[in-house]
Amino acid sequence: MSSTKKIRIDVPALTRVEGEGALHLSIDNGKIETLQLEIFEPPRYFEKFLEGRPPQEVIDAVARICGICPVAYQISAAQAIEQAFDIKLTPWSEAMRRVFYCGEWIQSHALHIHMLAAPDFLGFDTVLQMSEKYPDIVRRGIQLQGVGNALISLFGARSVHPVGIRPGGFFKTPENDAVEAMIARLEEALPLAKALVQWSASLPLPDDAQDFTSAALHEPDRYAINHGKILTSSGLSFEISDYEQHFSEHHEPHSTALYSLLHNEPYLVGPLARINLNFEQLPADIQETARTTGIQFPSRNMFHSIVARAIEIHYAIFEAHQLLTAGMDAEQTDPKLEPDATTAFGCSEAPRGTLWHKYEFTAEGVVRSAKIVPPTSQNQSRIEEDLHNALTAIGLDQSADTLRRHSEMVIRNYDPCISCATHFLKLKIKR
Amino acid sequence: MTEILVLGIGSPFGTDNVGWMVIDKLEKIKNAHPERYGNLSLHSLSRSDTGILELLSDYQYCIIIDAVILNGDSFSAQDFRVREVGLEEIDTCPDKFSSHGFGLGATLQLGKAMNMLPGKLEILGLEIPAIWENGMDLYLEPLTNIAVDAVLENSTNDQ
Repeated sequence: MSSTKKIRIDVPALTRVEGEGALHLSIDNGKIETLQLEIFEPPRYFEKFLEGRPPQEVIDAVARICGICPVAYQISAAQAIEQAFDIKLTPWSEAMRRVFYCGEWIQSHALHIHMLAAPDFLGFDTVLQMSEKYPDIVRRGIQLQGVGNALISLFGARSVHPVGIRPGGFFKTPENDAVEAMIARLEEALPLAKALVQWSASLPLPDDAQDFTSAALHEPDRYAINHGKILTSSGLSFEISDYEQHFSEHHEPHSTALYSLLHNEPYLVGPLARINLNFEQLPADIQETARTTGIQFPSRNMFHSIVARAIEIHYAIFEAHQLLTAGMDAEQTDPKLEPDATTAFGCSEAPRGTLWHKYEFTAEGVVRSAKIVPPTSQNQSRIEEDLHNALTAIGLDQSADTLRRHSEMVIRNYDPCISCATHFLKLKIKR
Repeated sequence: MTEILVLGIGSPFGTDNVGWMVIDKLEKIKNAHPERYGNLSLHSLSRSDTGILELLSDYQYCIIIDAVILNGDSFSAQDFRVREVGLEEIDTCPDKFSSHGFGLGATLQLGKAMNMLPGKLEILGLEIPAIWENGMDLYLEPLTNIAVDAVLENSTNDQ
């Protein structure tokens, strides 16, 4: 068949929440005069959409905010709902929520490392080009991404916008056969993840040490994913309910995304911040593999983020396997939701960083107001700060193309959603 | 019977849901006639990035159903067609409306480079306009029926 009409494959507009980026850079007399990262990020509307909604609709709706980290949105929301309605999870439900979350880390990090970040460090424009020289590396990325997707599907029925979570646990307990098959896949993936840690550290990563504040959830006895207090490298430690006493959001004229600051200063959330703050909470095996890379954590080099992601993949596979083979009874409760006017909070570590939710519920048990602070807005000021330092370090007299490429690499290094945006980075330089 | 993977790609909502509609209809037919269509492995997907490559590599034959945007100003019923799309026709440029710039085209090109595509791959494009107008919903039913017939015919011919 043939056609002269121009065609393209249509894909969901919902994924547009991943945004679009542009960088405006003004250099005057060898100094940066203006550096503005522009992000178009529409998910704020979701907070309004949630008003008047009952708990289950909230859990299903927030999964649609992001096609890459729906589990993070669901678990942060479920956590707040369970606090609001005084619902306690069984040990099995609690553990399997963590396994579910591990799936998201694995798939998101594997995608970012292999398909988005690695081509930058290896000198390719796209992973398609990279695949010609490094087919086994790309294949490993696809395999690990598949493991993460399978874990999400095990509990969420599907890997994108899963539907498995309800207040108190999950709608369905996975079949034993499916769990056994999943365990086998995790065992197969574990050595791949270990090799990935070594490989990521062997990449020609720029040496660019910077001062920044890390922030992440922290638990004393395990690597924090979906519980804990917020800890910062500047020495703060506080409950998630006190979030607004420390972090504030504001608008900048050049961006539709909100900027978030920690006591008026930029800060970092995400894998490197987590590893920097919680390295000692990783299991001994994971720490040992990480140490063999020769990289010392905490690290001030933002480009060590790719190594941090690899370590988190290694950990997530290890942790999911541990929990699935722990022989827990698959007990779940089916709690009744007793409405009460209250305010509740949820917070978890999305692949890209801390994701904070706040909900006010009416006496009828529906949402009166919602506030969601995604990692993207939290890292935005830090990215601009990083760009300022990184571009100055490589020399502002470099060609526009060199500056653009380095800027893209810096931005992509942070976060898959912004990576998406910066595939189209338009650099406007005024000299 | 050859196991055939059938993927309906798109959003579950809006006009991009035609791929899902076709899969829903095929599910009903498969359930009614398992002896005839039990070899169809049916999936609705809202993301078409590299995550689908593992799935594709497990099959020898795959049919992908997706919406294709028609460019133009006005449309009539005959413009809503199902057409077979060649791999080379799909825009492989980074797509700002897809996950991380990975659209179906880029994913399939990567799959081709990695030898992860099934030996037989057919892409059925259901043509719909970029701008939707009131009343056009009436066209979706016959359009998706054509796609269902095409899948059943192609899969039967492969026996």
